[in-house]
Amino acid sequence: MCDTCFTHTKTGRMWFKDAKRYARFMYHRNRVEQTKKNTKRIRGGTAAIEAAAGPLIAQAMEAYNIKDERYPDLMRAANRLHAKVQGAQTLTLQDSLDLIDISSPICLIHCECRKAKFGFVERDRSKMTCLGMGIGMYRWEKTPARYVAGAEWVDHDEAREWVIKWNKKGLVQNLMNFGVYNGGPWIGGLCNCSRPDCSSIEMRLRYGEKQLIKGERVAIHSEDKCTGCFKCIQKCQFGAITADIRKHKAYIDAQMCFGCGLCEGVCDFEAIDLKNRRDFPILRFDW
Amino acid sequence: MAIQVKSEDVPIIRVKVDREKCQLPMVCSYKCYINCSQQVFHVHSYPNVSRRFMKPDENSPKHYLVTGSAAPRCIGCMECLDNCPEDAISIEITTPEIKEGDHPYKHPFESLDVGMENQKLIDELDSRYKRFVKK
Repeated sequence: MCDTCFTHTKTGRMWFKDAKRYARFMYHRNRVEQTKKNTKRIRGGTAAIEAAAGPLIAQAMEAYNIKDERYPDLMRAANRLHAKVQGAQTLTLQDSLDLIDISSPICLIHCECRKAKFGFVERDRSKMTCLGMGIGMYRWEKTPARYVAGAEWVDHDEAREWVIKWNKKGLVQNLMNFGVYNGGPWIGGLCNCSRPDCSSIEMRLRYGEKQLIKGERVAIHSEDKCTGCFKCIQKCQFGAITADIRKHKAYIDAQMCFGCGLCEGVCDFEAIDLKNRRDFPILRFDW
Repeated sequence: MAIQVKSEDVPIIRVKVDREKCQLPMVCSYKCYINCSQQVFHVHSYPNVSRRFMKPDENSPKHYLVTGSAAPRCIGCMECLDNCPEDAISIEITTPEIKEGDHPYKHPFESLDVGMENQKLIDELDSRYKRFVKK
């Protein structure tokens, strides 16, 4: 076992590599009531929070569009609510492959963001970019409005191939977790996103809604190896990499980096390293 | 070289360069400026107003000045402390303490196993949900 596995969580692993996050009882616990005496459960489960958070977020977006002064307060309140329902976190390619190893079953499903924003449902299997994971997928037929194009069952090997293919295209891997409120997060999917389709990236970068959380890694480059080919700039979805004209080398702003690791995959000279976010005293509070 | 850790709400970092120790930054080829991955350091010539009409000399002291003026960019990797031959750089970090049950952005998803921390918010939610159902 490496050091990084022991420095992360109480259990000694990264939180998404913990088998509890995929377990049946966690899914069950998010759906049905919570049995602890001291804690009070919400009626209607996490759907109640979503119902409360939705109008708040809409208000905050309106305030942003009009350039109202109340926008930061509104968005802060919306964040506090919505962070407890559903969230996403960016992953590197290696971490997302590890995540596929743990979870089962796996389905190919269509992108909900594209459907909700543009009314576009990809019924063709080769254009799908989402993976549904976990035992929640067994009941996909009960919510036909979500799975319009159906769900196709996929092997672990096949899922790995898909993810590598999407990663080469330049899509960012985001894990989706559900029911953060009751009993901790439960991992239910792996989205492969790009702007402007992905609503979580768009909402985070434009409106400042923290549904998408930065990843566990940070890209840090060494200027000795960088040759200034600037391939990495094309790949970055978050605008963290710019061209430093003075040195004719790339410059990565670590406070804007989300740790997706796309730049590391492109670099031919191994100039970019992915390091743990929690090792840096400033970045460990920046999510 | 000094690191101070205190507890506050927001992490703050300050990078200071001791002017008396760092007098010839161009002689040591300004290692802090080159090796910093976030480009925190700036090199100024003419630190004193009285030298405005002098030509700056690399080998004479106090003609060039290194400052950590872009300190909000700093991530605290502490490489500049190792690289400086004069030990002129000092970094002060004030970070919040880590507690259980904190806000998830500070410690994403870990502290949430403990339970529900905010009882008022839950009551508000309940009332809001009731209104939502009636409509």
